[in-house]
Amino acid sequence: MSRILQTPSVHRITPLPPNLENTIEFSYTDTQTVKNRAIITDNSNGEIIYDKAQNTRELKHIIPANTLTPGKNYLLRIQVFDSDNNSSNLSDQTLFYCYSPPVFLIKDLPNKSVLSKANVVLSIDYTQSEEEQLKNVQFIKYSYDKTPIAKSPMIYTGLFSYEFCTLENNSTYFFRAVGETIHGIPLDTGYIEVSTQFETIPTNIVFTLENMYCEGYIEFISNIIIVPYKIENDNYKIEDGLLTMWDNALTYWGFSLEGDFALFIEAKKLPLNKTFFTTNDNLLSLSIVEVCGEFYCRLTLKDSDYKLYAPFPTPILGTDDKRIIVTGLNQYIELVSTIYDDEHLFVFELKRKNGYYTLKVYQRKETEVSV
Amino acid sequence: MIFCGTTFCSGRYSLTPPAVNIPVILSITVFDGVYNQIFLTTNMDITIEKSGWTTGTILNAEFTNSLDAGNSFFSLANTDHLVIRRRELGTQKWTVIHVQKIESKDSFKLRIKDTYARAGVEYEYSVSSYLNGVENNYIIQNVYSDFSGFYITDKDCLYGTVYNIDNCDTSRNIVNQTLGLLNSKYMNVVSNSDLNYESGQISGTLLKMNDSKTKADQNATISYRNQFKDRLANKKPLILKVHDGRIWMIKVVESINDTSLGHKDLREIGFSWVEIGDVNDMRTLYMNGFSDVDSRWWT
Repeated sequence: MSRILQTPSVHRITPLPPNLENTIEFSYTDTQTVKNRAIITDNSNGEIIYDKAQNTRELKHIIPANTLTPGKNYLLRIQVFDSDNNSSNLSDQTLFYCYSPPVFLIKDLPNKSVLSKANVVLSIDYTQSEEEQLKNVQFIKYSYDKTPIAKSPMIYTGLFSYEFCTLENNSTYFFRAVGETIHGIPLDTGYIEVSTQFETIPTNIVFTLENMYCEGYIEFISNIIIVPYKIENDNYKIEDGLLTMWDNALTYWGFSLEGDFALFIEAKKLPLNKTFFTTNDNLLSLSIVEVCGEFYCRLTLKDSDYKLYAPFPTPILGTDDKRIIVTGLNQYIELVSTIYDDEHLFVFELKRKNGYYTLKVYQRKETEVSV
Repeated sequence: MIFCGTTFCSGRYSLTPPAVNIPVILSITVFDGVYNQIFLTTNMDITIEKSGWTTGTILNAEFTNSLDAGNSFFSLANTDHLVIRRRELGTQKWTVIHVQKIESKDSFKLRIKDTYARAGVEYEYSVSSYLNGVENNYIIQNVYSDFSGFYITDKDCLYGTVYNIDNCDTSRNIVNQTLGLLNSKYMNVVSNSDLNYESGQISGTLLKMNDSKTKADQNATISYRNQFKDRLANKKPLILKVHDGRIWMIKVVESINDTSLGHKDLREIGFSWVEIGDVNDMRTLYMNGFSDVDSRWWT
């Protein structure tokens, strides 16, 4: 003789993603079930979009992927059956939502970043396709062994941002943000590892090693500075510390210079009336030009009539072993020259300070000999 | 107008260059010619005679043997993998602790915690560049490794304490059988096993202090103690190292004890362990999940 089984009770359902299988759990305390049936109704129009039974003894029902549409809410009812074909009534309707998985990240703080300051401001990068809003966020700071050190208060409104201060130098921390949306989607960024290093390693040090006595490990930090470069073709050779190029161009990049700088190019055999140096977009260019029989290095700025000329140094008297001859009053003995000297190395020094450019041409200081 | 070297009819600042836009420089290009050096820096006090890698240097190309302009002989052109190795000073065998695939200049920036270094030892670390499997450059530096207390560690965690450490007494275990023969006055010892491993017990008090290091932080201590026990109990291999220089690859056996020492903040955690592998063997480290360095780099 059939009887009615106890009515099951569905647990709270957090918003379900549409593109994954979702497991619905329920409570029930009568005879062993062998089958359960789930009915899902679209709450906006009462249409039944899912009505299936599954043979299982477990108190759960698996909704196949792509059954639900994101942005909608649904009502769910469960019915159970035992081996004698007895069934329960349908459970009370349980409301639940379907939302696409949101993106929840700590902004501008990639894993394993290095901070150069003792404080860090954390903010949230959150997007969700159906515009499900954030309800609350909390930021947590952990020590190197993931022990919680500090927590922000629960933030409900505003920019969802918080500042942690008093980070110690040469230390490792983890940061994490947790939160919830207004319909209960749990959010967690996971642990973001961060190191602090307030002092800059000198640039001539390729890597450092430090014994962390109180933490029990050796810390290795590399400081290899690479400057990417590109050479147009094989028309170059390097011999005796000199680079010779013909029908070619060599470009260095990978940096960003916004303020003052000093550029030194020591070179020879630079072609006349032709740019031998330029920057990105030809913002600055250097060339060797002849003006009224004398030779100058000229600086040109893009989209500007501004030009700067620096004369080549006047030839001076020297010895065969490259020592300069000076008079008893310590003055160079200058010679008149009307030819372009491309046989000797000259230093082209271009500086920019507070927006003003200076340009000089000279040779490296040699030993001076008095006569 | 300039006349006899002075501005004749104009003002005092007529020759001052006008303020110009300050474009951002992202790259520099040089063309045909013979170059001895290209040096770019933000340090305005430097001269070419003192050029080199100092504060503010952006690039320094000296064309000694290559077109590189960085602070070392490593470059994107000669490196597809950067290999970090370690060995004890005075020994020959290197252990590769990290291999970094080089894809951009940022790949050269590394920060590694070597938690498998034992105490009281001078180590040599080397950084080598490899191209197509061939080493072409390396730099070596030394560091003295030391710590107090004991630590358990694996690839993802490091737990330890300096408080109330016991002596970590161990046993070296071998298996054999004694046989009394009818025709011999003495016993015969037969060993049919290669077993030869260490085992022991260790205990200590785990404590977390507050930020000002003036007293114990009870909640942090409880959390840390639970994480420590969770790690001991998760059945995965660990490396145990103690302040006197001993180190083993172990697994925890039997129960983990948590005993009161008479104060609510002082509890002693103790456990028994057995040695399961050679802590210096790269294959063993990889197979037990302590290292990501695969067989291509094993020595």
